[in-house]
Amino acid sequence: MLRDLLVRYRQTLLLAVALLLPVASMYFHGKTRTETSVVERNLLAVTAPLTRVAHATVDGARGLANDYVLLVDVSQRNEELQRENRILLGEALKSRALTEELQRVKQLCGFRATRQGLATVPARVIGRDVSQFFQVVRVRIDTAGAAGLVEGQAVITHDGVVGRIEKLADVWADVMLVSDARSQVHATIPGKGVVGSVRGKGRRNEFAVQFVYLESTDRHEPIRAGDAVLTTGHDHVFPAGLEIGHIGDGAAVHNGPWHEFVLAPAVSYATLEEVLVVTQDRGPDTAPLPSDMPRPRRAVDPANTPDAPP
Amino acid sequence: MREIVWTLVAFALQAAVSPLLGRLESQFFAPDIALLTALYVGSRSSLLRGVACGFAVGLFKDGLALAAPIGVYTEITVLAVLAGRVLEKRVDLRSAVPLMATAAGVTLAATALFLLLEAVFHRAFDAYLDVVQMALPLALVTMLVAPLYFALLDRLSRPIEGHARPTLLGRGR
Repeated sequence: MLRDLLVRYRQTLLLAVALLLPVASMYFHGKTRTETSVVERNLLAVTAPLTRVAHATVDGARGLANDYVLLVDVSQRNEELQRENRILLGEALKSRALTEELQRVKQLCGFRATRQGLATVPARVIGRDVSQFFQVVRVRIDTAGAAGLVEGQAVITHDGVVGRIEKLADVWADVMLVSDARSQVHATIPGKGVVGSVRGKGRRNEFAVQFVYLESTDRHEPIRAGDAVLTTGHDHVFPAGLEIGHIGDGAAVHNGPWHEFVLAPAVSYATLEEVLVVTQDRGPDTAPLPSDMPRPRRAVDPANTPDAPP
Repeated sequence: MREIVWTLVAFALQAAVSPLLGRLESQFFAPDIALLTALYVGSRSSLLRGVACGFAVGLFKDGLALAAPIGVYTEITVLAVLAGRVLEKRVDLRSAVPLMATAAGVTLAATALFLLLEAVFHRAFDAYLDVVQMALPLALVTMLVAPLYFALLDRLSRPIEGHARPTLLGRGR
């Protein structure tokens, strides 16, 4: 009887359950409660993993889209960063160049302070004549219209002798380097009791200066590689006590009473930026550098050595 | 078999839509998938199967949205299944425009019912104004998605049914 009724009204009963069960649930769960009900717990157990999978899938798809599909923005951003990087690199190089320039100017100022007897005019190197063997044979300087400049004046740096003014026009001047074949500088090696003159060799593949001296009878110590060669000031062009170069590693060449040494220039002409032009040498007031002052051997610019590749 | 597939699709889409739109910062424009499923099931299935499917989908939505008392969405989807059965005889739910209009109307009615049920059963509920403000956007989004969703369920039903029947995307093979 009951079974017949259930079968007969099955549809109505199930519909009533489907409509009334949520109402009962709402009634129960709508109350203010603190604990989680069994239904809520089971629903959470079913929905939470699905939600987690959905989130993971969405995140994965988003990552895939961002990393592999939507690369247009990345490419554009990459170009922007590269442009920015180039600008920053340029600024860094400029900053480094300014730092180096400041360092050189500080050294020049320090040199001027130690040589009070010299009246000097600062000048900036604006060009270099380079030979076919990539060796500097002449430099051009900008004197900024400084007064008192004439041909033949010495051009020096804190490192040593550069050369002398050969030509002067307006604010520019061409400097003949001490390594030029026409150049001649009276020189000495402190403590070795020798004097002589330094000349440019002028050979095509041997861009070095040659030290020529007379054997002295009262010379106590032999001349060794690395000895610093300084100006004596006797030529009335270069102030005394300036470094011209160092004795090279090669053996001396005996030519009659003369002994020739190949020198490495004290100044790196290839990287020369700022120089001083000596406009006046108040001789007696000029205090030459003490001969016993330690002089570190400088790194020789390969471009200025005889072994420079052709 | 069809009802199981529809239920599973509704489960998956409900679980995915919210985080997907959340990532796009437009979670408030999520269409009411449960309601569309109930409407579809009501118009395509028998009464008992349709009610069972609507019950499951609504319960799942209750599980996802625990802010409302469990049973609110179940009640709404079961009633939506019944509404779908009634409307199917009066409106051509296989054409896009009538379907969209029906979806919008049912969504607005569902929102009203939601407010009523919340007012009756949920004592702590106080976001009536928010629900009212979201009613129209929700109806519009659901309306726009309805033809696509119905077409998707039609497409999924075709291999199971094994025979042709007219769908939104044309007559199946």
